[in-house]
Amino acid sequence: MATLLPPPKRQKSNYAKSLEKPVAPEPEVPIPSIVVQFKSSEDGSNLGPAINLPADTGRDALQMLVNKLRGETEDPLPYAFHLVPKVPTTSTSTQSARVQINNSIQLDALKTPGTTLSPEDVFELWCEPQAVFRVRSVGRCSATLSGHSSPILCCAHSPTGKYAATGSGDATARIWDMDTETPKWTLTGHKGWVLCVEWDSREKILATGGHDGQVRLWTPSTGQAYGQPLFGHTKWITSLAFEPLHLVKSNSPSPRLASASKDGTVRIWNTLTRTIEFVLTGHAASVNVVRWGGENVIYTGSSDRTVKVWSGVDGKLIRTLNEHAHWVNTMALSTDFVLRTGPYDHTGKVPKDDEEAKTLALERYKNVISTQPETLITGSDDHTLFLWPDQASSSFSTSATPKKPLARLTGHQKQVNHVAFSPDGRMIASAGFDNAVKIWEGRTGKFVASLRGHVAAVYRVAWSADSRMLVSASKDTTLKLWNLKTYKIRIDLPGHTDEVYCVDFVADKVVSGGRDKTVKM
Amino acid sequence: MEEHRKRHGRRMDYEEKKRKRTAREAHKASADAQKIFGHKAKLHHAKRHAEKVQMKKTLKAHDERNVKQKDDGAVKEGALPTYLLDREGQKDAKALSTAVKDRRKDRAAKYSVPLPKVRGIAEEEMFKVIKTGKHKGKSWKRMVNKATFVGEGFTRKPVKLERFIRPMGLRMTKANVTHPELKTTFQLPILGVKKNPQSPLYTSLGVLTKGTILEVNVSELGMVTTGGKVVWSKYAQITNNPENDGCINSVLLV
Repeated sequence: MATLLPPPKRQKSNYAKSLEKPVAPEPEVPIPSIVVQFKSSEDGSNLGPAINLPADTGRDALQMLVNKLRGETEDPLPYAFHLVPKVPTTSTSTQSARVQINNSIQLDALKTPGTTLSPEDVFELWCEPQAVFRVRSVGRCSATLSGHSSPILCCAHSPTGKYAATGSGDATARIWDMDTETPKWTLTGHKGWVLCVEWDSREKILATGGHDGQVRLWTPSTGQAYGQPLFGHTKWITSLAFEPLHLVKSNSPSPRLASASKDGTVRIWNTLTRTIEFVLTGHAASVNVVRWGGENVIYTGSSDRTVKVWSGVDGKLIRTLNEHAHWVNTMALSTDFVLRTGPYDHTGKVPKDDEEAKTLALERYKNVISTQPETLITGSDDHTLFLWPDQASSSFSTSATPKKPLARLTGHQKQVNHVAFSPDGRMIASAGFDNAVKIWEGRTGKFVASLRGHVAAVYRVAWSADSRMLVSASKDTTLKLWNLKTYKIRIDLPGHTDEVYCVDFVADKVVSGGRDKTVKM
Repeated sequence: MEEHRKRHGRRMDYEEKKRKRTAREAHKASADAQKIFGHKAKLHHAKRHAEKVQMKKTLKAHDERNVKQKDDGAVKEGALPTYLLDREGQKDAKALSTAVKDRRKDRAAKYSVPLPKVRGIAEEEMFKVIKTGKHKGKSWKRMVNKATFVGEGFTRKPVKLERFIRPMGLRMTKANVTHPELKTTFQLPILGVKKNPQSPLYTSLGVLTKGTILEVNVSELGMVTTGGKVVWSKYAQITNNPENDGCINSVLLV
């Protein structure tokens, strides 16, 4: 006998349905009409007059309105909106001081329980322009690459995003191709652990610093060493920084390199002739981090609790900032991302030659500087961070004295390990040993939110290129991708079997390496 | 002997005899070792054993020098990124047990201080008996022999009724406090004596001996709490004998 399909299920007849009590439709709640005043978050000025709107105006509609008010209808920018409630909330650290508007004011602000806002207030809506491009969300681990025979200590992505370089405890550095997710070159030569790795902004040189105190230069295209190693430091290298592309003089086409070491000195090398240009001495203890600012100013943070500001021209000490009470562990500049990626931006345009690359890099730098001068943030073992005003002498403002910090960011319960500015300079993320990642406002240093979720010390944070996503790597072997609208975890990226020591965010890929000797993409 | 040698020289066959004697040494030593007995034998064999051990070591060292080994670059194990170097990493296996131990200590109210035990100080050493009265017969007054801290605004009790005298010369107001992690020393004003391990009487008198816990004013260090408030006092423990040195050296209890 052929198999028979089972008889169809008996469906409810209309008669049975009509026996159910009719449910009265929910009474229509009249949507209140509110007065909204758009404020630009850059300078706090009002964008146009106060407008009467229904409360359930969606975010897209609000965006369109703001674009119209600013007169940018041809080139509309996406905006993020948030409210700052006027009534001071009781200072519980769980509540953030701002209410993000994701759907509409009615849903996010008026309907949430425990809100102090009513439809009769004038809502001041702060608008922040966001990057025009959008980075795809990272979902899963697409490749696990082994090859290192020792824990991976540092990783850096190249400015274009094509390659990633990792340094490991087995004294080698490896270059991986991000598009094909395969290893490209293995750079051997160091005699100790490779502690730091940095790309120059034209992707022509890769610099690695080791536990043996040597700095080695490599050409990424051929995988060969670019000359002899640079000797001079007596202890291990803690940090490397390349000169920004727009500051490189045209007669010496390679950017200079600054290397900071535990012996308390920072050496500036000429990468072409591989000689020392000058040495920045003055710190009394290990120099933990060095950064080259866009105004030809070098910042160094050290274990003697001071941050020193040097001139990139001749190596003279400009200023010493000593407000920290313990070692200065980490430092970030608001122009970090722009200086690192140089002439490459999201359009993927490749500059034809050095001159064009320089002008492009200068343009991008000037764009970021125009909205916010180059601010420095330093994180330390005393559980706090300091936000410092612009240190370059060329842009002195009479109101702020450069030696006094703009703000002191307290809140971490243990040492602050890593701090990073978002690429648009608007937000600061700080990772600490107290398992929390804290978000602060980039301009004023006000606390925004605390991202909790890790169960062990958070080692590193990295922002996506559009400043919309944040990934954090921690001792508890996971990476977490955070949703910056709700300040909660967006995606958990487990998979590493041991502590994750370093992470970097490229285009739409996250590169991470750790003690389990594998690189995950 | 040397004078004779200088004057008359040596025997004609001196070299020959010497050579033969040294050649016989090995045989003689072996014969002796086999024949001696008793106390002498024990001493000899012990000495010989030590000599043999040393010889083995030097031979081994020579062997290693001759063999050419592949130099593995002395790359150490346990690679750490820059931000973890210089930090004492706690091994995960020990983390739980240390946490449990810490909890037990807290319940037993045992706090870890740099100097857990101090030498007991006798009362004769601490106080000097002062005889008073018309015929110097009364001896109920005592003068403190150690450094003390009295605090601002201290006024003596009526002198006739004062039992313990704290001489002005031994009063101290500042302490040299060393931060254990930064390894730097600061001179900080003392705010008060928290506890003297010898006795609560000494605590109330403000006597400063080795092991005393002080409260010092740390506002000049610039430490801040998580709430943003400035920390201005912390405990420190004295590590020297102030009455001998004339100054107070202490370690900050972080």
